[in-house]
Amino acid sequence: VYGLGAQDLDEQLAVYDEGVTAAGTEGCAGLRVAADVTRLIGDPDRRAARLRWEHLSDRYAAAHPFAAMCLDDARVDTDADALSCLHPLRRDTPRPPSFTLFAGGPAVRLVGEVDAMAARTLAEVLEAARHDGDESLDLSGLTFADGRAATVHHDTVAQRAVAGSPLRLTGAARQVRRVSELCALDTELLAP
Amino acid sequence: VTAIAPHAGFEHAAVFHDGPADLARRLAPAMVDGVGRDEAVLVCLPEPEWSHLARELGAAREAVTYVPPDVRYERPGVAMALVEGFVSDALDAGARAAWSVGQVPLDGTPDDRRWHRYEAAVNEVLGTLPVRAWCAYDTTRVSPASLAAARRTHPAGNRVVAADLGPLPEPDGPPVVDLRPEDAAGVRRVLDAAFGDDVSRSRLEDVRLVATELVTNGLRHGAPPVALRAWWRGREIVLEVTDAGAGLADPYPDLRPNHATTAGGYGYWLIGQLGDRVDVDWAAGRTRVTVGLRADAAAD
Repeated sequence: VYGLGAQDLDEQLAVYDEGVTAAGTEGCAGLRVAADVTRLIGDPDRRAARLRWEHLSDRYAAAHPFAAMCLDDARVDTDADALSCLHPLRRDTPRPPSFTLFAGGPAVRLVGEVDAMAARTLAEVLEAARHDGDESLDLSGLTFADGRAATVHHDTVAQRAVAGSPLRLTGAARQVRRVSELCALDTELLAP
Repeated sequence: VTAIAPHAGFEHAAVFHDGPADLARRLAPAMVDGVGRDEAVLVCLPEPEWSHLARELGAAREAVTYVPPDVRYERPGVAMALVEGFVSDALDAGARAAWSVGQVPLDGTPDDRRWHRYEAAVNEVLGTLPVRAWCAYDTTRVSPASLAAARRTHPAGNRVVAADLGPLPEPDGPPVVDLRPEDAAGVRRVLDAAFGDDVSRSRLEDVRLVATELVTNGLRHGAPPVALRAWWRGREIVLEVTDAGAGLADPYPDLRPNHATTAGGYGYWLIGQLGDRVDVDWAAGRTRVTVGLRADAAAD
């Protein structure tokens, strides 16, 4: 099922969409998928596409009767935080990530805490979440950010603006705003 | 520690005086000359010192930027950020030199150490700029120990290390928190439980942020084991992070201008902006950073 070259993602989504439609025709309430993704996330060449796929399928799941469960073999060290943090529901994660990034309605939501230890992962998954056209990142569930996290937000917003796929940050809590202010980062980027 | 190459126009002078009228007479003539040369002037003095000086300055007073002491001297990191910002802006706007005339808020307690450390840092942080930093010390009111400290930190060129400033204030008792952290997230949980009921929400957020930056620095740039301890000292929360590293090259990382450093990002900058007192030292083979945060410094 998962060829997952970057160009295959839309095709992959179409396969799921057909499955969901077929399930509906057969009188089912929806479609559930379970897949072991250990090898995919561990392969550097496929990692970015894999993370991008998580976003696409998450957005799709938010709007369709579709649910997916990804299995990651904890015995294999795959630097799986990036994968983990894209799944709002987690079971038996050995070291659960401090934050979660997922599709919540029209916006992507960032929930939890981000510090320097998690900042690299945040940068990676935000890059993977890049969506064509306007997009907003809802920070209202972000309960803690340190200087590195604030820097990642600002660098991401700046890079997206240059690349023509602007990202709006919304709902930042007092603590998140305060760090940005103290670092003299552009707090205009933090829309109310 | 890197040697500083001071700017020829840098001065850091202690002005010892015996009251507001005497201070005004000692300061005004040179300041009027400076204004005449279009040098930028920042003044931060309490009353009645400022009123006396303003009268003595006459028309030159119009050229002076005045900042009230409670704003300027909220804490050392804020004081340094303010003067450094003033000087940078003035030089960018074409001034050939800038003045900072101030008076650190000493109260005769062991906490005065933080302002002596600040005075020592002025030599290093502002020393590469054409700044005339003149610091008022009222010999009738300042304690002999603080006057002695002022003679060590002025004039520029005196190198003062933390040990010259005397011992750190002692905490109240055994630590409330004593950890060997492996990450900062776990530290935040512990601090929430230890202090969450006794400080405002916003000050707890400051404590969490400072602890995160301290522990991250220790884990990333120090040598294991990294240890965090926390105490109450009166109404101050004291955070102490140690590691087995060889000390920091810069004794005043929290008082450097707002530039993300390659070593610590914004970490030390944030620590300096939020901590009421910061100390960096190296003793018995351990690098130690101590930060005191007054629990009532921020209202919810």
